[in-house]
Amino acid sequence: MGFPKIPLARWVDVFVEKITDIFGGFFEGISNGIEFVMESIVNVLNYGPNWVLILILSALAFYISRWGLALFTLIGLLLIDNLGYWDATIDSLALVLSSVIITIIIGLPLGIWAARSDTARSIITPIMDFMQTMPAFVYLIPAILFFGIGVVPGIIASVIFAVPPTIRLTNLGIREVPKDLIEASDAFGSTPRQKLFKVQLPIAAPTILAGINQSIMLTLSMVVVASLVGAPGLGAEVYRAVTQVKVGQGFEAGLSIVIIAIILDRISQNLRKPAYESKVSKKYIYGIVALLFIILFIIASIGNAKPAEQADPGNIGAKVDYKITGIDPGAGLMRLTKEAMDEYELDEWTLTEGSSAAMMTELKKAYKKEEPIIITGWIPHWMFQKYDLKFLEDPKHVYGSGEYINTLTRKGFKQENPGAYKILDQFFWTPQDMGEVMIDVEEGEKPEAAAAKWIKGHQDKVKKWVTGAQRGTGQKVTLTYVAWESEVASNNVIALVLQEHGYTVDLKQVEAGPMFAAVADGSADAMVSAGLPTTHKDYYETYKAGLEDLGPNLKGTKLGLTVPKYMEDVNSMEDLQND
Amino acid sequence: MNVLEPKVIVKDVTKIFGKSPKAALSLLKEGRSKKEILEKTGSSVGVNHANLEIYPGEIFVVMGLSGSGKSTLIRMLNRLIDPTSGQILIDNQDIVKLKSNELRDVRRKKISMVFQNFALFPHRTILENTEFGLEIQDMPESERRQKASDALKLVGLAGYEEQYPNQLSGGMQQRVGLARALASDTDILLMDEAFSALDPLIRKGMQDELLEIQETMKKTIIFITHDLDEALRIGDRIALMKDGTIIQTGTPEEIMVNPANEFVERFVEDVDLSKVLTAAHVLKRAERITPDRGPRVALQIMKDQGYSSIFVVDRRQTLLGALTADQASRAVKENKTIEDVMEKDILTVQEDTILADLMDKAATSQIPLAVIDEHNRLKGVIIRGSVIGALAGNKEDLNVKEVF
Repeated sequence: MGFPKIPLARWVDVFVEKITDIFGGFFEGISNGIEFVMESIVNVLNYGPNWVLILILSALAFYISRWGLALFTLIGLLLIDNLGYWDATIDSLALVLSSVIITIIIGLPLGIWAARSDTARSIITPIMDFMQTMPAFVYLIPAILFFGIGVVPGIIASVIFAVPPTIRLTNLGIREVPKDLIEASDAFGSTPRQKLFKVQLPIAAPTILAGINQSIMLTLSMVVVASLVGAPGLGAEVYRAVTQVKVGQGFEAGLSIVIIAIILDRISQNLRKPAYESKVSKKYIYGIVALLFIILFIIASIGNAKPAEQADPGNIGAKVDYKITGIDPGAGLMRLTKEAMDEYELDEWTLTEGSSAAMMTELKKAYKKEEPIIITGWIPHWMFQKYDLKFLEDPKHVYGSGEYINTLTRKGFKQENPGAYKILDQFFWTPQDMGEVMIDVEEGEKPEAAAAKWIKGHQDKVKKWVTGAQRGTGQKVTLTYVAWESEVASNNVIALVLQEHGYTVDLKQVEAGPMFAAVADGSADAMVSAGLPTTHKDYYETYKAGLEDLGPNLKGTKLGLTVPKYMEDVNSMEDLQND
Repeated sequence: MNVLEPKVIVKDVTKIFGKSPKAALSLLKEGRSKKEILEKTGSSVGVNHANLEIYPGEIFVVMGLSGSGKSTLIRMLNRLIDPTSGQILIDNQDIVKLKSNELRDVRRKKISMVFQNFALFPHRTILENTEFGLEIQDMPESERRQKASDALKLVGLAGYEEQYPNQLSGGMQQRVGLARALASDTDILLMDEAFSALDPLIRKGMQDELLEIQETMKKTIIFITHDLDEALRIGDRIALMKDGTIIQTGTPEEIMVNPANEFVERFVEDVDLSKVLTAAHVLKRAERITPDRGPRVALQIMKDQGYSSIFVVDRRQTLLGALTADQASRAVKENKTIEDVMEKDILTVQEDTILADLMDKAATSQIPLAVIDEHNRLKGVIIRGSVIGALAGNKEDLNVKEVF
């Protein structure tokens, strides 16, 4: 064990940071471009009434794949509209279309290159293997760093995940063109370009389209993952349903994804050989669809061109693009922020959804360049230790006045395991204590090690927690928690304390909704992460029948919109209002 | 033919496949065998020091079994395969040295090719396939369409322009392949086993059609085949290949009659000689007489030579008829002329009639068959015995011209 851990994570961090510094402008350009494409597609799809688009898509489905698919498209889309997921569906469709366009722009040339050069193929193939096996979530991290939060990193991650089939099958298709056709093409004196466009690509077209079809499906499978960094659409609906344990909603959103998937799959599969090709040439049909799209695209982009920058350049809204950077869509803090936006009449503002990690990345980027940013912040969180931040004043007290973190156990835990119960009941510390653990973790320490270090330094406090509690004999205690930095800190500390007292602790990392559900239904014993009375109000109300509240383990928490201190002009929620 | 400048000259061309062509090349110079070289270097010899001269307007057949290197050889002529060493001169231009854009020009203007499995583009119509060579030369659409439909007409496919290759039979597809090659109007036509994928009846029809087209177009055609019958049918000259080496080059009859070695002999031994040998090969000198010599003289000659008949010709050797000994003695008795009694309606064959086609006549004719040229001049006579002897491979019964 003498060999120290290779600091691979650190190297990657440094590398990514350097790239962000050097290519920042470049990434911003790409980001703007992708956003423009995405928005234009949304605008085009949203241009007419819903039923017009539904009819057009059904007609297209009819032309390409007869009445079966047409009927399915019609009923499926009407159902989505009826369930209230129309806007989300349009967002997801636009996300998929943008990703596919980029996938083709990148994948086709790479596939061609791989087909023409064995060297290129031997370079590209292992990279593609890597791209496909690396968990797709991992791409989200650098994608946020490079492209910020929102739909763009989602698209980028989707493209990375979805591009390999297009590359692979383009390569395969071209390599599978019969040798004698290549010879014929050469023998008549084709240039390499003529050979490519007149022989190889047309003959490889079915294979290439099969690859693009696969890419479309993979992109669709990424919509939920993309929602973690703030991409809107059906994925965000699913994500929200998961964090809030809303089975019905999850099913509705999931069903919508399935409907879209089937329609896209069948249409893209038969694009090359539409069912009614003999009646009407596909050139006309596709030409009309493309023309319609382009016309609407132009109309929509003229109509949507943003009015010139507001007269007052000092306006904070304009500086941050009327964007408040938020966390996971299901969080209570998000609900509160929406309430606050209503309360303070911040109509032109949008709250972007994503995750706390994504928000922290945004903050990190902005802070480094001293750019303005508004986030949803809370104490305890290490961001207040690491950066100079301030809460915006909340004169209307939307975010509540006093917020605690409570310890909850399942009903009956006290009788079964009084010793552990007593320790959990007596567990109480301060934001300052918690901050010490958090900052160690943020700086690269393992949570267990950081917790042990804190316990070692605060024996007096720990002693109070365990006073009068009988020692365990290996009984198992299951704790659920969400992967927020604060909860990672508290759970690791309390787990270690319990273990030192003879208990076996099982820590289960879940989303907020499941955290409550698991304790309430008895599959977990306790949690020390309930944000009350405001943050987790909804969950508490839903599950309180199965829960026992042992009171706060931490006081002095706070929620609210947060800005860096260098934003001197902005101090109150009211400063965000337009005059 | 030899007075013409050769159209294509293949000089000492070698092709080695594999990673170490240089090592293989030097082993080849030492005279090692193909197998030895493969074992030693891992490289295989495709073509070994080939030399050919091909003249304008001839159909030059390269024949060999599979693996003999004939396909490699023909592909080096338009450099679908690059030779390892040697020169290939087309109109005295060494195409081995050409840069890729110059090579493209040669391929567009000078050489076109017809492939064994047709190699038609499945996504293009017949017309689009035919105009492919012209299209990539950026010829204006109306012009190239015109040329393509002319070429299709030439091969008898007018009316099929808008069909796709998979809607056509094999024979028709190969006509498209031929039309595509003809549309470019190149001097040289490479045909790589062009008819081998067709069934025998259609193959024969295509061979005839090719000969017919050649009659008017006078292309220089280099034709690859593994089928000796095909080679003999259409080849003006034939080169025989084995293991990458050209064993023998010559006219069909030279190869048949004077095989260069045992391999060629074995190769040709199964060939139906009656389809190769012609009347000219087996004819014997015919006894003849002009009518003014009178029946007595005729009778005397026949008695002296032991013949039962004699041919009657005029002074220009034009065949007038035949006179049997019976007829001659009748004329002497009745005091008539030769012309009064001779058989005027006799069976004749041309010099280039193959034996298979004259056998019938030879069997039914009372008197020996007369061989005449196109001006009806008597060239000789077919004796049944020498036909049988020639078919049995008896060289004494053959009139063989010296080979060069």
